[in-house]
Amino acid sequence: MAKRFHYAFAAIFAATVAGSGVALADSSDEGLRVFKAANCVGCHKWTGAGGGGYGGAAANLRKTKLTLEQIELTIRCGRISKGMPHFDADAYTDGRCYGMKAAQLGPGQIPPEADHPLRPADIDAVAKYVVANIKGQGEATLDQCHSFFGAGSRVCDMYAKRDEGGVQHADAEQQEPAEAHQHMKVDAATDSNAPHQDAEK
Amino acid sequence: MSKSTCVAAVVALILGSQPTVFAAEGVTAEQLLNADSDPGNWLTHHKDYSAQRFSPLNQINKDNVKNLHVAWTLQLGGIEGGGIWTHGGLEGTPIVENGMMFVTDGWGSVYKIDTRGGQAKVLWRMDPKTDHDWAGAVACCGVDNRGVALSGNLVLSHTLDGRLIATNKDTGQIAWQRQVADPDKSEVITGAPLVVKNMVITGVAGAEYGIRGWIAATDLTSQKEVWRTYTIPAKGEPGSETWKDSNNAAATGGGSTWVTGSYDPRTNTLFWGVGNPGPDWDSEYRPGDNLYTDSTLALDVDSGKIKWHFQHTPNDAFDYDSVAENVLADAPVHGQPRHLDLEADRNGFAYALDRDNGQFVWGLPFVKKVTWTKGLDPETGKPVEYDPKTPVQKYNASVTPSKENPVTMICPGNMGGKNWPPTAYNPVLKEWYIPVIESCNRITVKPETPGKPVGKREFFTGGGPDQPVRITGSVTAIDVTTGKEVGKHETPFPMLGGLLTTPDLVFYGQPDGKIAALDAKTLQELWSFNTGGGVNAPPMTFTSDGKQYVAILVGQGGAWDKWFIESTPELKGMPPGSSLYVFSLN
Ligand code: HEC
Repeated sequence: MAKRFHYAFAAIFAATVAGSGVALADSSDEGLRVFKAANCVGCHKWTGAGGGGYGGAAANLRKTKLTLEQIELTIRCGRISKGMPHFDADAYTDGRCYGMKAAQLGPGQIPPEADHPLRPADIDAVAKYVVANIKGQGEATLDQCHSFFGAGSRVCDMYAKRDEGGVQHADAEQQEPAEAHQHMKVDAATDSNAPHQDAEK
Repeated sequence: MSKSTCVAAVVALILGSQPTVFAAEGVTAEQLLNADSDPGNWLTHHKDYSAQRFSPLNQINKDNVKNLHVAWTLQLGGIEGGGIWTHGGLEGTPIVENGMMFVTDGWGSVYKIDTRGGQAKVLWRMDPKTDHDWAGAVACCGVDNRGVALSGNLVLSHTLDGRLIATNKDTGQIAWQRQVADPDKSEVITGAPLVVKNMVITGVAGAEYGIRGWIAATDLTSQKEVWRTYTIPAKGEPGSETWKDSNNAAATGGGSTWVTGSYDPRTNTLFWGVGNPGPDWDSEYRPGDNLYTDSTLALDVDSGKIKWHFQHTPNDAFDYDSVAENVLADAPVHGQPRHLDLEADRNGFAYALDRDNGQFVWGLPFVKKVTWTKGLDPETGKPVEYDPKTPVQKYNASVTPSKENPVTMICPGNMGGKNWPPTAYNPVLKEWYIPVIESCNRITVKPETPGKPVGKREFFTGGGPDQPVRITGSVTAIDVTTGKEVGKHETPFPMLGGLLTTPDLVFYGQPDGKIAALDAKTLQELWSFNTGGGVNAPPMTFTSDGKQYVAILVGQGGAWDKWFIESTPELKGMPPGSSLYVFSLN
């Protein structure tokens, strides 16, 4: 069942990329695919910055001090007593993770099971992706946003405004084939409860 | 009532044979005003403007409901993920007009389905091409869309990425659209639109990300916004004095409006619920009562001006939204005829107000366990510990999340009580049914830093919940003439889908896939069926070719499986889905 999900998500992702018409070229392609498909984004966000919120804080991977090996271990095994899931489906069957088996761990200790367990090659790829594209990066940039999402989404607009002082946005307006609705702006009425509204009318 | 019902039936018959004539007419303002006496149709989100979700249809009744079975099902789309979400879900109420059904999926596609002849035929699908990444990253609680509204020849719908879309009912082509909410400010839309007169009304979500909430009305002819009422008053407006800090906490004060409201034509008043203040669990960040968060608002529908408000949880530290629907019911209370506004709050209390002036009539806990307060003041309806002179309310201080008490169990838990899933009111029995989440959960406070700029498109919650204990549910019945609980039907899972009542039945769905009918008087279960998919949407009923059907969308979405699943371990791994179930007798 879990495997089926994995393929389903990979298929959705493939469709998204194909639709956006962006060719992803660098060697992190596979890692990026896994980062999306395994829903690391769901907790760590696309930037890896994680952050507080509803479900408790996921670590900021941009500021992680961990080595590639430690990152890979964390992804395979999750974190004992923390919200980081284990992506190796058999992590706690034979002591391969921290020398522990499920029976030795209490209910609050055993890391959550990942929704989408990963194959060793996927874990390897996503760990490398974290080291190459996230670890040690400062604030997220427009370029990083574009290489994550491709074109076609307004998700990067906020970085455009910040990085380019609006210049980038003007360019974006000329880019085709963006859908017409992608440039719509809110044209709000004035505040109905403003004290002098009647006088203004 | 019976007369206009008869007229409607005749009109429906005539029009049914001449669909082109009908298409030109479409749904009129008059029809929407009289939706309560149009039993075969379900023309607006809560069935009619009173939000009672009562249908007088009684072909399916307590004597024969045991024979209810699947008439047909339909697979829908919108199951894909986006942003922080792995999948979409279904929370919508189907709308039916003369045998034509309109439903939405989580990403806002609208489907027109011909239900005539006892089978389903999809006539068109309007895919709004919602920007998944833009919107899904700032949707606190799932990829959801609660349905459409009808006006004239238009089908009105919202998208998670903040648009209001008008679709031609015959062709499925977009006639026009406008951006109403701005996901760049973490504003998204999940609620169904409400058409009143020549306006369509929109509410917004985003109080977990530091929005300043609003309700907005768009003119259907000019397609321009005619009014926007902010739920957090600007400096100088009445209510702004309830934000007492010096860091402009009001600017990010929350107050979402993501559940469709109700309307009383008698007084030209729109009733709308307002959500929690932000940051959710750091009440010290925003000393004061924080109007109009956690309030019921009564608005002049033409101008959006606030007529009165009633705040349920001043200076909320629990995430106890009052975003729920306000049910308008006329009934005697202790022998006195009253125009009531009924609201079942996230904070675990059910309230009846006089809807003409906002005065408290009665209130009672509808959950089994309330720990945050000892109860409501019988005069004012405020929690008894509430002290208007205290800027940061402590309520039951040993329970209330605060810097001194940063890890605390609260009952009800932060989902409620009762969340968005709608209640149903039976005007025959004068009983009001509440879909209850019987819950406690644990809050950990992580104070926000006053004066520090709030992260753009970042959670701004001042902490978060986790789920150390099991959460269950119930259908709880209240006699509105006395304000007393008269029944509780307990369920193994929380109520995440809402209710429908007919003269002698109550219908509900559960997140394990079960759909059931209860005897409206005794709350005894009379029928059930398992759809095999999580039910996260309210049941509705309609007639097609004169025959009664019950319809419900099936497909778990929402916040539950991401943030609350630990409290319902059996639901772990429940696969997402997206389908429509329709039931009938024989
Ligand atoms: C359900 C939420 C969730 C998901 C999904 C998730 N993580 Fe995590 N992750 C966390 C949390 C929470 C922590 C912090 C654990 C702690 O407090 O020690 C964390 C920690 C980490 C760390 C350790 C960082 C450090 O410096 O200690 C790494 C590396 C990591 N995650 C990578 C990933 C990758 C790669 C994926 C996807 C394959 C992923 N995570 C998916 C929640 C999640």
